[in-house]
Amino acid sequence: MGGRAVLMVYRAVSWLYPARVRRSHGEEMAAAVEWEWQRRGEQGVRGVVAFAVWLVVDVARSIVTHRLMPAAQRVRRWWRPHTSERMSYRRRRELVQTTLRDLRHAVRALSRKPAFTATAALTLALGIGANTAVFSVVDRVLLRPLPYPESGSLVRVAHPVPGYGSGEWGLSQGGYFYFKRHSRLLGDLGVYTSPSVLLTGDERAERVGAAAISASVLSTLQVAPVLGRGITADDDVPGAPPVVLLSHDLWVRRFGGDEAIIGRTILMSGRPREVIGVMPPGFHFPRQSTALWFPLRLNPNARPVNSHYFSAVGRMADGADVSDVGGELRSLVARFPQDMPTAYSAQFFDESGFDVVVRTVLDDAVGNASRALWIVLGTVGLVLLMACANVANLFLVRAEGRRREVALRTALGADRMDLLRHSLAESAALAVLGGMLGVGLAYLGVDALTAMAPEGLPRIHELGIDLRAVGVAALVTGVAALFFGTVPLLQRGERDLTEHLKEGTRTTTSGKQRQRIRSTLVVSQIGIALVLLAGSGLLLRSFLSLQAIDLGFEPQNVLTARLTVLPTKYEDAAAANRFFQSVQASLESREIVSSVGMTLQLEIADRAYDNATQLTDRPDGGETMQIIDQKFAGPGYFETMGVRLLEGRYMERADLEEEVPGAIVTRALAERYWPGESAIGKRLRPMFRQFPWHRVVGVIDDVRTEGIQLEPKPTVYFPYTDSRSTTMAVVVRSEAPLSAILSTVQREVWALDPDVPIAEVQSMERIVADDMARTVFTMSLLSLAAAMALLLGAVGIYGVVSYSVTQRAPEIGIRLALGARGGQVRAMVLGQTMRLALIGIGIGLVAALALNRVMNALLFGVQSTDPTTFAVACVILASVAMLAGFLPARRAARVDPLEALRV
Amino acid sequence: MSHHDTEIADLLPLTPVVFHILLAVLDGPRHGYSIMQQVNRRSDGRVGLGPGTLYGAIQRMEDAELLHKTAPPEGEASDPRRRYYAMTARGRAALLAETGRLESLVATVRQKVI
Repeated sequence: MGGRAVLMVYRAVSWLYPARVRRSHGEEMAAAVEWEWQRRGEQGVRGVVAFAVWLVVDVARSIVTHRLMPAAQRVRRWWRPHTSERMSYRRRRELVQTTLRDLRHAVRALSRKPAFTATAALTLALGIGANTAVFSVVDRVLLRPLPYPESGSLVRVAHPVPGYGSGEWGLSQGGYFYFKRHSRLLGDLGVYTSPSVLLTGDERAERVGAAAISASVLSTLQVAPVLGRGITADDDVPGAPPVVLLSHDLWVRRFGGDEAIIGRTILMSGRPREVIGVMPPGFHFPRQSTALWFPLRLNPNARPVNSHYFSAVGRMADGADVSDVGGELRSLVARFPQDMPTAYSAQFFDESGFDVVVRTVLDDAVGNASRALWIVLGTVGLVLLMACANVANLFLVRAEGRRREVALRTALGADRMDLLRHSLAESAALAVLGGMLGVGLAYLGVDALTAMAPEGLPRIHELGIDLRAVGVAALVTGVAALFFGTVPLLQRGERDLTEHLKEGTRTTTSGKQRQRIRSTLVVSQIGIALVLLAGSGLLLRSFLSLQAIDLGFEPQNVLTARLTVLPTKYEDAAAANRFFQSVQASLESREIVSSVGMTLQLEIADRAYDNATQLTDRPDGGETMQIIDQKFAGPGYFETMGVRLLEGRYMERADLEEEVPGAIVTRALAERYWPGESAIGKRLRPMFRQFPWHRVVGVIDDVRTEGIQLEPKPTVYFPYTDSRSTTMAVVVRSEAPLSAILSTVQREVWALDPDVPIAEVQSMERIVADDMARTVFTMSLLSLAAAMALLLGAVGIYGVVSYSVTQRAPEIGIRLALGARGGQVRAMVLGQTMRLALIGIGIGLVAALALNRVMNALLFGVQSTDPTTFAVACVILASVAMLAGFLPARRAARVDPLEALRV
Repeated sequence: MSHHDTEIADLLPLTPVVFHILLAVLDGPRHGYSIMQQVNRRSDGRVGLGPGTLYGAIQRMEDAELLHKTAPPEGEASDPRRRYYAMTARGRAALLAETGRLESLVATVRQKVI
């Protein structure tokens, strides 16, 4: 019953069975299905289901067995035409043995040709080593997260003030509390400043970096101390007992790692503080040099003022992202004039363009460097590509030379698989050798990179080769080995073996094909080399532009150092000022010293106070209050720094003590606030602490205070005696070497007070150089890569042209025999070289023009499509190509026609 | 495609399907459906044969000359759709070789375990 139905079912699925089986056994299969149905049908519903399952499973297995697996076997048969269908286990064992044998042979073959092996291995080592080193840097700096829990949600908050220039301001106290109260998308927010403080007491006085933080900083970072307790909200109110947290390094170094430190009191800047905890090792917030944390003890109810010097770090609430938070804070900032009118006037908002920006902490820290680092990584990747191309070329030459050997082997029964195995064994051995050398080079490279790297790159001090980098190197090595192991075999089967077995055949179709491949490789190498050359040329010009910038002062031959006086020894600001003046006077008397000055803020190294300043005697007769960069310096400072005087005079000693003290302003300030008039005699004063009015006694040319690449802003220099600081930087100009000046300074300072530490001794040139460090770093790396590319390209061209000369020797011989002169033959070869080079340069130009858009952010003073740079790069490349072709050309001219024509 | 020159050893190890089919015809020729039932029963359904798998294997074994079609034995000429298969000498040799291989394996295990 239902037999016919079953037959229809069978016929429906039978086409899925392999055709041959159906042809031979179709009727039997149909019968089997019918009989099975009859049998199962007696078992009721369960039987029907079982029957269906049985049939479906059989169809599936049949498809797998008869269609998929034979396809796989067909592929295998292509590799091994001489063997039978299935690979028995005996065969598998043989495979392992033959592979080991191949490796042994490969090593022996490679050692028989040391020149080839050395060249290939070193080329690979260069490419792999460079990649591993740079990847280590990129991995540490960019790919690893910061050492805080869930650092992805940490953000920085700052206030751009486009109306005042390109800088960004920190938060004000009022602004901080406002955000804290009203923001919902910021889960937590903390503010901090980074003063350096003086540690005195049992040991030698020492200046260390510190951070004054709100208690919310620790909760935002979610870092807890390993010993004792952290700073709580109770510690962070005005009038709370002074406490401090130590860094792990400091605790071990200065306090012996003694756990009893908790509860003890230490002297910080002369004032006692109780140590309440020790932070975990590796915790260095906000700077690598921060060793102490103490509470800010801000008053939330204090009257808000327009003074911005807090850095801020916040944590985004769950689910919020940077643009959400930015939007919310912007809407809050829009209410500042309404809710904090004493600090934020509408006029101030208009003029400054006061805004708020939120960035992830990583973006903020790495900034421009991230683009530079990715560019560098791309660069060394290109170099590796070139190295692989070179090695592939070498392999092609080798393959060409072993044509007959290969033909013989094939005739004797080796199949494609065997040939591939041989080739892969050699390339694997070479790749491993090159890889090991490369990792060794990388170790050296990373050391060099760390030394050259600009400060402020996160984790830069933790550099070392790690497992990930080595893993990447291994991966790259493996891929490279596969690449140039198989490139020589990339052609159709060589059916006609007899052609190869014949003696004296030099040019075959496959030989021509190989030559084409080689030429293509070389041309692409030239292209890559051009891209790298042009890129490094552009960066070089940027660097030179930066160097040529007028800083507004002369950094050569100026030594800087910071002096700090103990607050306990000097009762008040006047006493401290007297000390600094004595230091200056005694240094001035030394012959070795050309000039000396004091300043609170060193150019470029320190930021100015951007604070409210009141100016009067305006052209319209009125007063105005502005946010202006304020710096504090003294007589002798301007001369020592080599600042140019435009009007009036430099600051003098007398200016410090007058009833209306003198001040110096920069040209930008004079032109902005007293346009069309002389600024001399105008008055201005800082708007805090009841400062007296100051009189402008001199106008100096603009100084690039904030950094080389930033436009100079209007700046006023008040006498340093106003600042009431216990730390002052001394600047000394002298022709003598650094060590001589330093020992003079030490002698004079310690003669007056032996307890004064002298810290951060650097030359002004060093400070300027550090500012350019980022550009220099990228530029050096790119130039190095370009040099390597040039070398590899030259070697590549030499190889191709040289080989071509060998191939064409008979033709050249004929020409010479028929009367061609040596010079003509040379010209012919050089012409071939130039053809290759020009094609490569053409490709390179197109690629470079496209890619260099990427570099725009790093350039300064030069366009990314600058024609001069490109022209120079082309000329250099063409010359190198000509040089590389020179030797083969000479060889071609010297070909002995008889020798060449001998078959 | 003649496989006379392919060694029996190269056919080892036999797949379970082939082995069971050879077992099934060891005692004498059988027709396809009967082989299928025998194999499924003897392996408790683990080697579940269906028409495709059975006749695919039979086809392969015929190619490898382990099996050949034969006339129905006396007294069983019932259904014309039944085709009978018998083991060849080569098939017998393969079965014996595989059995020997399994025996030596078993012996090794027994030696070590006992």
